[in-house]
Amino acid sequence: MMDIFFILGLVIAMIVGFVISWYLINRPDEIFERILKHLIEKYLDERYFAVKRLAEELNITEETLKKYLKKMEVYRIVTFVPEKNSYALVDPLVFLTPRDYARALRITKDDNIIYGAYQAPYRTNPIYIGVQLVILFTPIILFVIHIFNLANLEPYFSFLKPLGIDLTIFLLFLIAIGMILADAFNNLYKAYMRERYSVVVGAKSGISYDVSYADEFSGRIRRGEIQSVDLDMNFWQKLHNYFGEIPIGNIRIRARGGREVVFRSMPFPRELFYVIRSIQLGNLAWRKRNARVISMWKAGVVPIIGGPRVTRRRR
Amino acid sequence: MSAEIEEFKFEIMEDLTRPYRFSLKAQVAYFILIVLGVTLGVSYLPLSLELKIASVIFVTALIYPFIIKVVNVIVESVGMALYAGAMFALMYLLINYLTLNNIRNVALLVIFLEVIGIEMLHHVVERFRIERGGKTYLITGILSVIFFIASLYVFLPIGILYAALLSAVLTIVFVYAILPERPF
Repeated sequence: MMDIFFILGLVIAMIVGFVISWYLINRPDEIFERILKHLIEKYLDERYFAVKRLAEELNITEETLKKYLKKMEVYRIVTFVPEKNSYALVDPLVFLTPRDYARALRITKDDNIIYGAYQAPYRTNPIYIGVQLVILFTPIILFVIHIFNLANLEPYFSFLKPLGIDLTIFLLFLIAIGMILADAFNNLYKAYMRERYSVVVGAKSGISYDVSYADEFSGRIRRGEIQSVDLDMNFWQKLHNYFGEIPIGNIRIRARGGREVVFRSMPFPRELFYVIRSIQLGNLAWRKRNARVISMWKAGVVPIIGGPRVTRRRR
Repeated sequence: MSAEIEEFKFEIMEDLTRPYRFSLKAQVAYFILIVLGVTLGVSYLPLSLELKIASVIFVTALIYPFIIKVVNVIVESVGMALYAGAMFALMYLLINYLTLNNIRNVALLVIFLEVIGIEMLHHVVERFRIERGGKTYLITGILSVIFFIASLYVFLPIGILYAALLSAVLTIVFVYAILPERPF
């Protein structure tokens, strides 16, 4: 006989979860959107701005503005430039760390960086995926074996008895340890791969990229050198894009002189393709038109239902 | 060239990831199919009805973020509802089916619930996985203190020094795992 409290509790828990998310987590933040709109409209080309001046323009206090700028720094919408003692608006398709963004600005001689990201070939690497699955599933398999009595695991865990530990609870503990180890491995690997093999597209400087570890953008394809650009996604990348978090794909560029360069597993390859085509053709009008939308997306702003106009700020 | 420039227009969607995903209808259809398949599979398992319902809710919450990729408040709220349902079902079953006869077992269970609670939340609601802030650090701090004390108690029989060392290492791994990280 099933406990009625179980069903009742389950339904209540789900309703509470839904209501919390709907009313508390997804609160709109009008000041954030106002600041962002103003920055995009006024500083997309100028880029650098002082807090005092911006506060005056927006008619808000410097303290409030600083609080929001800190938040925008987290989302990589703005970055603080110590040399100029001011903030700079980061172009919406730049996913570089502040350190790498500063490096890109320095090397491209303060060019407008329109796209910047790291190649991420590890995302479809079977070893990277396999290690996480093994760490995660080994304790789960042991737990299933124990729960369904498929084998007697007691002798292997005989050390638990004198401690008064229940085998089922210990296996649950192992599942938890497996989960944090897999997550930590994932974070560690991502951190190791970050800031390596970056690709930067500047409005005037063209494409700059790292060709080896600890490189300083020794790879360079100037705007005029680009002959053709192609977007290419293999089966594993497509699969990753359907179910994974960040879409990836290869970008193949043919430059004059028969040189061919492939950027592997670039985040947002479709947008990179368009960016390269734009600088090739010298048409960047779309950038200003769509900058607000992309920045809003980057900051985690989600539409209430799905329409492009009415938005709520995610917290 | 100028004609080519004139023709060169493209649209950026509100959600940049949309062009890479299945269409909304396909996502919903795949999700329903998988949930039905899981329900059918679980119905043949030799489990009580409570366990069957809990399993379906739990698996649904697990697969939801993999299949449903549309970003809006409804999708996020449904995700939170599934998360809350899955966590309730899990806690209810653990309390009812496990014998918690000593504090060491309770400590192990606290560690398990803490880890699964936070990891599942990161899995179901993406922005908790990527956004860091004052609240995140505060919650991580509180959770890691609980984690450290619980694991210290569990490992106490191997000696206070070794127990403290092992607990500290595990707590560091725990903190590193649960702190939100940008995916790029």
